[in-house]
Amino acid sequence: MTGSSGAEAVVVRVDRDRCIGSGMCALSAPESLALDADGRARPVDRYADGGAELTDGLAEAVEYCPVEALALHSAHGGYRIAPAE
Amino acid sequence: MSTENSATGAGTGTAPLPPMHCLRHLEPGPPRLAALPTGTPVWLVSRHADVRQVLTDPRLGRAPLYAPDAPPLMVTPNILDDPQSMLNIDGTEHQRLRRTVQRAFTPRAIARWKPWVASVVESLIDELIDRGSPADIVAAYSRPLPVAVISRLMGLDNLDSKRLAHWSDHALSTTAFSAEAIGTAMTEFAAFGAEVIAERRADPGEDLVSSLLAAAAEDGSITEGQLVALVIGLVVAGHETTMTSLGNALVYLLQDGRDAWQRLASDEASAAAATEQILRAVPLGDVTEHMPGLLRRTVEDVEIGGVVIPAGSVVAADTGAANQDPEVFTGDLRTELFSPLAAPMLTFGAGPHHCLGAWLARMELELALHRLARRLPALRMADPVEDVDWRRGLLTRSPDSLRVIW
Ligand code: SF4
Repeated sequence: MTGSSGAEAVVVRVDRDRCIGSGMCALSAPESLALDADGRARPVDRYADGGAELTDGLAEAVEYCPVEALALHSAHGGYRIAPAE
Repeated sequence: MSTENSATGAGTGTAPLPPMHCLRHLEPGPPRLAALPTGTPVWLVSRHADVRQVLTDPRLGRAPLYAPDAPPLMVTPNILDDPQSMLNIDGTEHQRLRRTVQRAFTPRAIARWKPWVASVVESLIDELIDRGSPADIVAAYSRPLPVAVISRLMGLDNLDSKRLAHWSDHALSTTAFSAEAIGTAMTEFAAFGAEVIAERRADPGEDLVSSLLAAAAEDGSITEGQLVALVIGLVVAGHETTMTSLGNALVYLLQDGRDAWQRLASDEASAAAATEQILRAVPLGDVTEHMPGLLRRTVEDVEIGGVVIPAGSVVAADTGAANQDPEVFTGDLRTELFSPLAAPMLTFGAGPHHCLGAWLARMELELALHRLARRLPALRMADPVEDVDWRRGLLTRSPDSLRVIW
């Protein structure tokens, strides 16, 4: 258990088959998500691995992804936080 | 290059046109220069990866197409040329506007409407069966279904479908109507939009207009003009393209592709797979000389598919060609109808302007095809495909009427 931000630490997963490269997430949560050269989103830094704080921007990015390609998971427990199944 | 060619208006053409599933596409290749009907040079982009790049790369946008220095795009501008429309705004401003409506259109939000859409589908089929064979499947089914769905979603219970058809045809006209006729229709349509907004402000409900007004009030930066454009844009986009797609799917499935009809009836998963393939392979429009693809303009030099396209260039992403790119897809509906797509289709675009209604359109098509095949296993076209009466002079092409028997 090396997660950095205590109980709130989250990681974000991108379903790259679903992602249509809207870029909405990279605009609302630039600290957590970026667009790759192929135009698809990818988690950055600790949001890919290890976990970091759940910001408002990230919560919003997950909620507004047009194709629901983003999912938030607990960095510790691994369970899914959002969107609800 | 003037507006006099309105003689090719809806319904007046006589030459038989190929059905949409038989259209020939541009052979995909590197970007190449062509011209729009206005004489404006345009870079045609046709390969799957290149089209995807044009639509997702932030160095290309929609707003620069309407900047003061922009060259003319359309001989007769239509609703797609409204600079206030969400389609023609980029970046953060676009994102804020899009956010006000996005919530209602996520796959999960749309799935909640499924039982209701299914009930509309079933009641239209009931009426069709009651009236008996032969019937016009466009008048009875492919036209009223999307209108009913978008009217309900937006709470437009008393929307007269004739008025709606009039506005929609003008909104997406290429040559069917004069600039003046389009202007008049769009002014009326905007007044209708403003009226709906005023009504819903006074008396909010559970509908999409009410929820987008609430989201816009919270955001605070969205102008009245943008809201009106959004409401009328949703009305047009919400039914016109679905009607077109369903009509053209039926032209294929009730004749050339008739073998697949039983399997479409068998289960929803088959209908879902077929919907994806049909959306990929059967384009919405064929007016490539007016609109060779989804237009963007470069804000700096961009290399696409090995070609450097200079800043300020107009680029057309030919999604129809990309959807048939032999490097990616086989293109054969007859053998591939129930196979999963080899790559994402580009019918709904990609990037920030990816079609908001993609999930709604998919669900409507899937239910419409599956339930119709289940209820009417013997359904087929009554006349040869050469006799189909097409809606002409618009950005989309679909049958104006289609006689079927069972
Ligand atoms: S918001 Fe969704 S579709 Fe858009 S880039 Fe991010 S993950 Fe991809």
